This record gives sequence, C-alpha cells and structure tokens, in this order.
Amino acid sequence: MDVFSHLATGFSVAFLPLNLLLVLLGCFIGTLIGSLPGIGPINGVAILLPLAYALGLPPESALILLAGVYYGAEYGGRISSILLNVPGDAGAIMTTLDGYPLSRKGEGGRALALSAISSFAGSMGALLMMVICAPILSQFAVQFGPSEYVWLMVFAFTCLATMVGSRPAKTIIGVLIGLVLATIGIDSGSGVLRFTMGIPNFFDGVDFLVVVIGMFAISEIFVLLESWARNDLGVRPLGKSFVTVADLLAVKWVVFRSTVMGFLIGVLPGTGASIASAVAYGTEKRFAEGKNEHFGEGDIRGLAAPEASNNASAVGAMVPMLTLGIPGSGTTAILLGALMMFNITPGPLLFEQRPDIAWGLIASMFVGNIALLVMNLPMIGLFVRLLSIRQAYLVPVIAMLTFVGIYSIHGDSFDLFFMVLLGVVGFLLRKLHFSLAPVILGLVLGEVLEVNLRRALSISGGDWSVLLDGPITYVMAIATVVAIVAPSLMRSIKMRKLLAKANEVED
Amino acid sequence: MYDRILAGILLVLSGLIVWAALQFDVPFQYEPLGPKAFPVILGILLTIFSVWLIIKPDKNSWYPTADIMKKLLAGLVLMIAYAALFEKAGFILATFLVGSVFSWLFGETPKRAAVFALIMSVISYFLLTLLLQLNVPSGTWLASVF
Amino acid sequence: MKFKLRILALAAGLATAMHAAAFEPSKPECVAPAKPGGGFDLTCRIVSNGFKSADLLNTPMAVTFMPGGVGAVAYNYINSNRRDDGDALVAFSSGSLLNIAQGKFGKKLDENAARWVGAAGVDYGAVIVRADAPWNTLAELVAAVKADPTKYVLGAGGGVGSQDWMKAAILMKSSGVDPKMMRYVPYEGGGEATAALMGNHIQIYPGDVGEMVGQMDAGKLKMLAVMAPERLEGEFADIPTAKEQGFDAEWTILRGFYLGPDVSDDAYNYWAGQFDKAYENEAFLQTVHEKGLIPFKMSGEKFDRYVKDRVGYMRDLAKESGLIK
Repeated sequence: MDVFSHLATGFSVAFLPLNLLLVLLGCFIGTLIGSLPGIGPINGVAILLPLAYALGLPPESALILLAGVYYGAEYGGRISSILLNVPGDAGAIMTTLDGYPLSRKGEGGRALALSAISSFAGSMGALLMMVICAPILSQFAVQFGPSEYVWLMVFAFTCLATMVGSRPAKTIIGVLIGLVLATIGIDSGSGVLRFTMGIPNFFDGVDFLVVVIGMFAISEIFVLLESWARNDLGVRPLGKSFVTVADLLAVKWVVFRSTVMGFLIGVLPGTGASIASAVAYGTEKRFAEGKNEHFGEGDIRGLAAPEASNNASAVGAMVPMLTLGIPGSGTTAILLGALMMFNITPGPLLFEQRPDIAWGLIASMFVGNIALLVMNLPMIGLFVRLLSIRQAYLVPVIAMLTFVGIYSIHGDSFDLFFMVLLGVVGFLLRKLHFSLAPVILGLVLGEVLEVNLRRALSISGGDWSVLLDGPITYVMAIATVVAIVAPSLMRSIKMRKLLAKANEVED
Repeated sequence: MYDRILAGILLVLSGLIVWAALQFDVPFQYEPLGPKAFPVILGILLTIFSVWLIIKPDKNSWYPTADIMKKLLAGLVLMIAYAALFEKAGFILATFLVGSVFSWLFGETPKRAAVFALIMSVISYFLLTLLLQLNVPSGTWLASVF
Repeated sequence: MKFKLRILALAAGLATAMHAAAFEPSKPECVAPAKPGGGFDLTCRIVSNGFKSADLLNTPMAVTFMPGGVGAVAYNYINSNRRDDGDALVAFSSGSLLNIAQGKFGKKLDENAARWVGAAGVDYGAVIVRADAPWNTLAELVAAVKADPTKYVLGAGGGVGSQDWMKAAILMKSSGVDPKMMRYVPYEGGGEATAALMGNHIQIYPGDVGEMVGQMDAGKLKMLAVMAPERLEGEFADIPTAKEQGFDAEWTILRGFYLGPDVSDDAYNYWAGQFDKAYENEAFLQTVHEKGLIPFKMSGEKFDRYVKDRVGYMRDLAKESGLIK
C-alpha cells in the first residue's frame, strides 16, 4: 500500500527528537491558549510564527509546532466553555450548551473527560479519513460551488430549528439579530458600505470574536454579579466525577457521525469549526429526539457532538491547504503564510515534491493527538479546581483575559466598548430567556448564505434553477427535506404504534 | 412586559434597517439580488416576529431589586471605565484599578482586593507580553510622564 | 551669484543630511492593517526581515496588526492618533489606494493625508484559466467572451470597486466589451477564487502573478497573459503580456509604506534613505523575491508623487466606470 510507505516516511520525520519535543510543546501551548477566553488558535499560531522563524527551525519542524498549537487550541477551547460558560474560542460555543449544565451539576470532571475523549476520537477519525482520501477530498472541496454552500447553510438552519425551545419566536428573533449583525460592513459583492454608520472599525464587518466574547463572557460577568447580589452563588459542587464506559458507549455513534460531518465541513474552504459544531449539535439533537433527550440541560450527547466535530474540522481544514494551497479556515490561512515564509508552496505538488513535510505533519498530528489526550486526562482534576476559586478572584481574571484578547485582535479600544455593549445586550436577552447560540450562528451562517446565494444567482444570471444543479445539491436538498420532515414523521409513527398498542389492550 | 419593550425596540430597529437598506447607493450591480435584498428581507422578518412577541409575550420572570440594579450598574460602569482606561492608562494601571474594585464588589476586603489586583496585573502583564507576545498597551499617560 | 547659491544649496543639503543622521527611530514599528498572515503581514515582514538582513536597523522592527477595510482603520487611526510618529511605517497596497480614490477611507481623508515613503515591491495582474480551457491566447478568450458576454463567468477575490474587479473591468474594456455586461462573481480573496476556478464555477480569473508561483507546474491552471508593462523574468518569462497580444490592459499591484501626515522631514528622509540603501542590498532584494514580489526601486518625494499620480489615475478610472460621480 502506497499510503503506508508514505506514513512510514512521515513517522520517521515525526519521531525525530526535535519534532517530538515540538509537537508536545505546541500541543501544550495550544491547550493553554485555547483555554483562555478570547485568545484562540489564530492568536496562538500568530504568536509562535515569528518565533519559529527566528529560531531557524527547519520548515517541517516549524509546521509541526504551529499545527500543534492549532489543534491543541481547538482542544483547549472546551475547558472554559464547560467550567465557566465562557467559550474559549469560536468553535467551542456549542460546547457551553450542555457542558456548562453538566459542570453546574457537579459533573465537571465527567464533562471534561468525555469531551477530551470525543475530541480525541474526532481528530483521530478525521486524520484517518485525511490519510485515506485526501486527493478525492480536495476534488470534493473544489466541486463545492455557491449552490452547494447555499444548501449547506439551509441545512444548518433547519438543524438550528431543533434549538427552538418553548418560544420559537425568541429563537428566530435571535437568529435574525445575528443575521443582521452579519450584514454590517463593506458588502463583498457591490463594495457598498452597509450599516457602518461611518465608523471605519465596522468596514470589515463585526468581528465574530467580539460578539462571542461580548455576548457570552461579558454577560456572564453580569450574571455572576446578579447571583452574588442575590446571594445564591454559593459553593458549586465540585464532584469527583469521571467519564464511565457506559457514557462512552452511549455516545459512540454520536461521535462517529459528528466526526464525519465535522471533517467534511472543515474540508470546505469558507466553513470552519463553529459551523461544524453547530451542524453536528443540531443533527444529533434531531437524532436524539424521543430518545430520552434533554439537550441543553446537560446531555452528554450534546457535549460529545460539537467537540468531536470541531476537532475533526480542524483536521479537515488542513486538507485543502496542503493539497490545493487554499486555506480552509482563518488559522490555516496563517499556516499557509507560514509555509510561504519558509519558501514552500503548498499545493498539488507538495505531496510529490516534499513528502517529508506533508506526511511528517500528518504523522505528527497522530502523535500530537495522543499526547493531548494523555496530557489532558490527568489534568482534569486540576482544571475542575478552577471552580473552587472564589468569584472575587475569578471575575477580575475573566474580565482581564477578555479585554486583552479582544484588544489584541485590532489593537483598538473601539472593540472594547463594543464588546461591553454587546455584553449588556447579551445579558438582557438572557434575562428574557433568549438563547444566545442562535445569535452567534445567525452571524456565522448568515454571511456565508447571503454571499453564496448571490454568487450562485450571478453565475446563472438570475436563474434560480442553479440551486438544483449537480448531484451534491440533490443530496443536500434531500437531506434538508428529511431533516425537516423526519421528526414529525417519527412522532406520527410512534403515535400510531402507541395507538395500536392501546387498541390491542382494549381488544 | 419586558418582552414587549424589547419587541418594540426591535420593531423600530427593523424599520430603520429596511429604511437604511433602501438608501444604499449602489453605483451599478451585475447581480439579480444586490446588497439591498437581504437586509430588507431580514427587516421584514424581524418586524413579523417582533409583532408576534408583542401579541404573545412571556410572563416576566426577572425581578431585579434595587440592590441588584446597583451592582449591575456598578459592573457596567466598571467595564466601561476599563475600556476607556485600557489604552490610555495602560494595562497594568487599568487592570489594577478595575480588578481591585471588581474583587471588592464580589466581597473581598479593600486591602486584600488591592493586593490581589496588583499582583494579578503585574504578573499577567509580563506573562502576556513576554510569553504570549500579545499586543498589550503600556499606556500613553505614563509614557508622557517619563 | 550662481556660485553663492550653490554654496547655500550645499549648506542646506549638508544641514538636512546632518539632521537626517540625527533621526533614529527609537521603537521602529511596521503597522500591518490586516490580520496576521495576510498580505499586509507579508509586506511588513519584507521591511522587518529585509532591513534586518540588510543591517539597516539597530533596533528590531516590531510588526503590529490593525485590520479593517483594506487599511481604512489604520489610515484613520494614524490620522487621528499618531500624525507625527516617525517610528511607525504603515503598509498599504494598490487596493488601499483604490479605496482612497473612491473616498472610502473617510470623506476628508484623501491621498494627501499621508507621506508615502517607500515600496516593498510590485506584483502584476494575470489572466488565469483552467488548464483544459479551450483558449490558449488572450485573443481567443476575448473573441469567445465578445460573442456572448453572459456565457463565461469571471470571478476574483473582491467585489465591485476592488482591485480584482478593476482588473476584470480593464480587461473587458480593452477588448471592447462594456464592463457592465460581464458576469462577475466576487470571492473572499484569491484562494477562494482559485478554488472556484478549479471547480469550474468560474471560467476566467483575473488574479495576481505572485499567488500563482508553484501553481503553474501543477498543471491545473494556465496563465494567458500577464498584465505587466513588459515580460517578467524567471518562472513567468514565457507568458506574454496583454499589451504584446494587443490589449491595453495593465495592472500593477503596488505594495509599500506610508508615514503619518505630520511626520518631520528628518524622519521622512531617514526612512526614504533607508529604502534607497535597501534597494541596493542583495539580502533585501532576496527577501522581496521570497515574498513573491518584484523589486520596485522608488522612495521619498518621487515615490510620494508616483503614489498620488496613481490615485489620480484610479479616480479617473472609477469615474469612468461609474463607481463615483
């Protein structure tokens, strides 16, 4: 088998002492950076890039280090989501939904361990898929045109519909607010300024991280203030819970499906960890309907799905970068820049011309993921101790980290004020029982949807039939219809069965 | 009641969105949809759902007392002050001031709060700048003094 | 009389020279108006690494980031907060100039609100199609588009009014097709547009030469013309210019630096002098090449005039194509 000989080459590079050290270092720094709210993989890679260059590392070693930081951060993002209800990075938003309730119940250890294992499985599964079918996948990625993206977004929105709680109007309004936020900035099609109010900081649109951190972290500070004033902060139960084999068996198919979905979404240029985790969460909620489902209140399936998916998407994003020279996410764009700095042009020829780099990186990712799991599991006890820190110390630290993180994006105080404003809005919405996740998803999905719908129609000259053109669009259209119809169908089947049973009893 | 207030605000907002979107000055466009369509559709949808919320609001479940409002306002003022001071006073001074008040707000004694905030701001300044190489402002006020 | 004047001039020259030597940046900084890893980051790395390897800096140059609107945020920031800061070079590209020409950086901020000081290098537009496309010359392509402008879709990394769109519009205009007739699809950056071309969602991509380094060998794409004044060297030496093929379509992508509007002449001349030295330095030129650019040796007042001329030219273009009134 060709693949095995390539992988052998790769492992011979990855197992060099220097590279082994770097992958461990990268993963460790990544976990650390990812767990800090507001500071995510992009920062991590951007910080280490000049350092790697200055140290004069050979290109494959530098890439191994930077990639380690990337997926390490994707791994670490879950920690503050679960423990503090503050997403460590954008891909970890969905993790708050069921992770935080679990830690509230004193099952923080269980949640952290389960999510670590799901993340591990997601990364490993995605790596295997990458090794086996990277060339086909890069073809798949370029075949994915505007119409296909439109369907993917429509599908994501239908998955979102499952998040409609007791008040559909509120969820929809949340999504709409997110969608409106997404339209702010220079319109990429016409160059027209939309809703920028003459503020140049809005020209590039509302920064996603500012919204995430404002709505989640800052509003969380207000929530803590209120609980403190009400005197019901109390001591949260710590618990010594850990993941059980039964838990793992219960989520094995969830993890499998989420890994595949996350990986494929990661492969597409233009969609990343946040969309991958949202789609996985929504889909799993659909699957779980009627099966003792309590998503949003600490369901382990709702925790495993986004974590497997966002880590798989981080691996997936590497596929177009390595095989086509096209970044699949913001962070891989930086990795791409890093490769260029070392005079290596990623692209179709990378695997032929520099197999040591391509396969060395892939092999190091296997090593890195095992290292992450080994590193993370024993540290869970330590992480959970975070909860025993008094609010008087914890809150100033959260405030500091969010401010530093947001300031470091643009180096401009404007973002800080905007973040505080969003924090107030987020807090009020939470008090009125709005869920914040739909707002964020509206923001992420809205732009991709609008841009691609307009692209599709520009290509066809206004002919809407372009949306149903080609096998991928058919499959996705069918999947969307199924996602809409299936739950009610299942319900009616179940009802009929119940009725039948009732009739039998009567007979 | 709060639901209705929010819905009212959203209603005004959606009107503004539609109005502003129709004002976009588009030199020319190739595309059938253009930059206006999406915001207009969103504005209309937002109007519909705001009206729905006005007709069928939830019952209030949030009853902030005066004390809670005071604490929340204090937090808000503190964070606005932090944002305002962050660049001008520099990270260390701003974090020390805001951090100690925050710590005190959450029940720490003033002295211990100040000590904690001082240690936190100085240590994290060096961690963030040296280790993480982040862009942390050192302050323009201090620079002009020295 | 003449003699006296000359001495005066000499003295004045000496004085400025001595002054110039007096200026030394205490904390040299390159402001990249984009996120890390973007095009402006690379531009900044050219001076920070290039000046270092050319021994032109005593203190290492820091790169800071200020993303927003192809440089709009940085332009406004420098103009309101650091008008006279001689330590901060800010990176710009022709994309920024095009926005200035259209008044998108703010109503009061035009090309006179900065002191343009030196170039990192240039890149040129290129007409790129799939390797299996039926055209092998620009003339064949133009003939096909002329026959039915709606049949083939152009796509590139920016919307109406961006450089990429401008390249497409100039190409159409030079071949006698009304730019408003073309089917144009904007993407987010060159990478997405390249992917769309590979996937055959678009058929013609007016991209940049620099980003095609290495892609040609892979045999998936071909370049029909470079939009440069004359043939390039190296990898792209075989590709004819648009002009050679009879189409007046030229697009130079300039990457360079400016200083705040109130920066002292001393500081301005210091940096201009550093650029002059760098242009003669092999190590610096090597850095420029590594970043996929072609050296462009112009600095100081001459560069300032050149940039302002370019903005004027772009303003005319924008008016002509109906972007501004």
